[in-house]
Amino acid sequence: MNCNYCEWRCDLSQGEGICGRYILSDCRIEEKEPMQWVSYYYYQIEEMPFFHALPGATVLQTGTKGCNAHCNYCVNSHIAIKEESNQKLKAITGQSLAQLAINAGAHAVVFAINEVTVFLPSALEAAQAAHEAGLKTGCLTNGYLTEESTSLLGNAMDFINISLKSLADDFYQENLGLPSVKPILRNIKALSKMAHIEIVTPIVHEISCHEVLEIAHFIAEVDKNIPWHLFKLQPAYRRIGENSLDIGAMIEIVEQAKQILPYIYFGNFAGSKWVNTLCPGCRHMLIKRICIGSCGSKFSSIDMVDNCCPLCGQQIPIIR
Amino acid sequence: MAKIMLDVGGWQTVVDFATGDPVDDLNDPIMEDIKQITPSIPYPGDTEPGAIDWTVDAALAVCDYYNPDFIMLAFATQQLIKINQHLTPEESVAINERIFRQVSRFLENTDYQPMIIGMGGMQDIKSVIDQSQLSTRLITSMCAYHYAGLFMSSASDAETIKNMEHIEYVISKEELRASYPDMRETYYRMLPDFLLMSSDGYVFNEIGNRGIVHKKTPQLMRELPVYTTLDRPQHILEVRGILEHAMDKGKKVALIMLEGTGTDDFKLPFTMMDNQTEWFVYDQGLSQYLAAATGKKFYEYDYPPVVNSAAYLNTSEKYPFSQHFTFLPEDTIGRRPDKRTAAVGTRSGFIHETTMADICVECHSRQLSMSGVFVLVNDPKGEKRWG
Repeated sequence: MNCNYCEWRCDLSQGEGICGRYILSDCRIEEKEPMQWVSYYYYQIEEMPFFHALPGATVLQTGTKGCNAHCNYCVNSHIAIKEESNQKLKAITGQSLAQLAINAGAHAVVFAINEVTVFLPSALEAAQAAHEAGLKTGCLTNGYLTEESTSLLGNAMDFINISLKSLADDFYQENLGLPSVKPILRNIKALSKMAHIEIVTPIVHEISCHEVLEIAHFIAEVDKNIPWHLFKLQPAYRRIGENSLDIGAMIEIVEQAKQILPYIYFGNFAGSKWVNTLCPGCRHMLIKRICIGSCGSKFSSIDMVDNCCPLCGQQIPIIR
Repeated sequence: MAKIMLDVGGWQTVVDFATGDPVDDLNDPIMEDIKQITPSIPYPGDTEPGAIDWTVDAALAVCDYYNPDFIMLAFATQQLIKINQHLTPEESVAINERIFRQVSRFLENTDYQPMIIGMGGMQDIKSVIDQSQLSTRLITSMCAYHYAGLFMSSASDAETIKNMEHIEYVISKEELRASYPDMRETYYRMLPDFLLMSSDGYVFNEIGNRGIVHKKTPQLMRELPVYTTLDRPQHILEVRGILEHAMDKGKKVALIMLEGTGTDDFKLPFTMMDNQTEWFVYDQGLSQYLAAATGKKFYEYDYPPVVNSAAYLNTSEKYPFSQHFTFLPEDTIGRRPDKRTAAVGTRSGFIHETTMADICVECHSRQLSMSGVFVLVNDPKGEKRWG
């Protein structure tokens, strides 16, 4: 019997699948540890990153363990890839997660830390509880879902950040252990019609200007209003110790890509000046952020009238 | 204007310390010099043993440039590694010995009189304290390993806490204010409903924010080992006064803080000094740094030992690069107006947040994710000669 949560479609009758998080039970595919979470903590939504959803809001972030990819530079390999012997998950109901969020003044529950596809039923249940409590929901995903899961996720989440590492299959095969980027591109298109999406491209390596512009063109074809985060990532896991990205060279590429997409951000390093939202019409600073280093940026101030630029009146796509 | 220079793998930018805004028109010869220095001291990372050597490399660079009368060297690497990684006994010993070799290297290459403090050894976690009967979870923060706060408590929680195991001390917000009426209003406002101190080795949470299971925890040390060629402190709160007195006599002094080093692995002849005020034991982390740098008791600080950091995520206030701190201590050894001061180390944030020294060089890391080197040039005093 094949699992239908992600594109691996593992045959669970043959044993654990790629992620190890689903089991066959009475001819049903079930999560191994449903509604159990590794931790939860509060962040500003910009740290996820989401820049065009609930600016400045506090969110409750939670997740489980495991992943359906095997990124050789993973910064959360202790959770996603290597299972620590005493890594216990904690049972928390969806209602309790929502209440924890409300108690802390959070406006949303965000499923992050690890890949949402490997705990999709729990995420859906918790998202429903969050919505019933008046909260928004969001998640981070690598996008390697089946079409069925994509539909479930898109209907359950208000905002989704999809990681698009490259447009090349061989990059995905070599660095993530995934056969192809094509399902991810398909799912980006589908999700863009179902929820607010933002795309993040983590960069641990030198990336060519050509490839950046190619990705920008792909996003623009889906929807040019999709915010795109170029994310400097410190090499970790199997690539720890490698030289990290040359920020100076990347800045020049980012400036070129801005001709293609209006909302491009380059961050995840302290002091980045490329994390503010500027009006595409008149360049007025609409949302000011401060990039304090790894793990993202923080909201500083907003200058918008409803969802429009106060100077030129251009409408800006932001969930508030 | 105080400024921060951030060096991320050779890419550099300067921002205003108070606002975080970019400083485009630098016109600052000191900062221009600092920008030339930092590329030669790239930070290896929080859990890299090379970060121990980095502390001394950075300290020697600062001494060479600024020749401070006071310098703090903070070695956090041992604690960070031992909390987050399984080590063999040999690896564990090697890290500690590396610290002492590097401390010797610093002292052999300078003319500082040292005050070396072992902030406490590391131990296995005895148990995680059961909080299941409380109405909400306890909050831990800011390396206050043996402290937790209960915010938004319910009526039944007071009784529940009394019956919780492995709790050494509990005090309510109102009891704290009644005991220490001089505490600042902000301190009082940020206090939890109940502040709890655990027994040695018992933790409130064994998993960090990123989901890393902690392998060790600091010892709760009521006394700390200290080696010095200056007067011997009997209490951690005497450290600042002794260092200042030595500076008054024209000596250059180095406060050397060793996280993860206790009495068993302190490689120099030491004496013990008290590390508690009444019931409060200064934990390995922020409170020990503040105690040494300010000489003040725990209830005289700007912030309580545990704050509900989720309530302070917004950085629109001052000092966005200083965690939740929107005001920083002014009465510290580092703020002394007639002496040059510096602080260097691998405890991101606490280096400048506790000393407020003229020049602070620290790693810039968040949750073990390394961003580079952070240099604060902190309102240099006009009458000083630089270099």
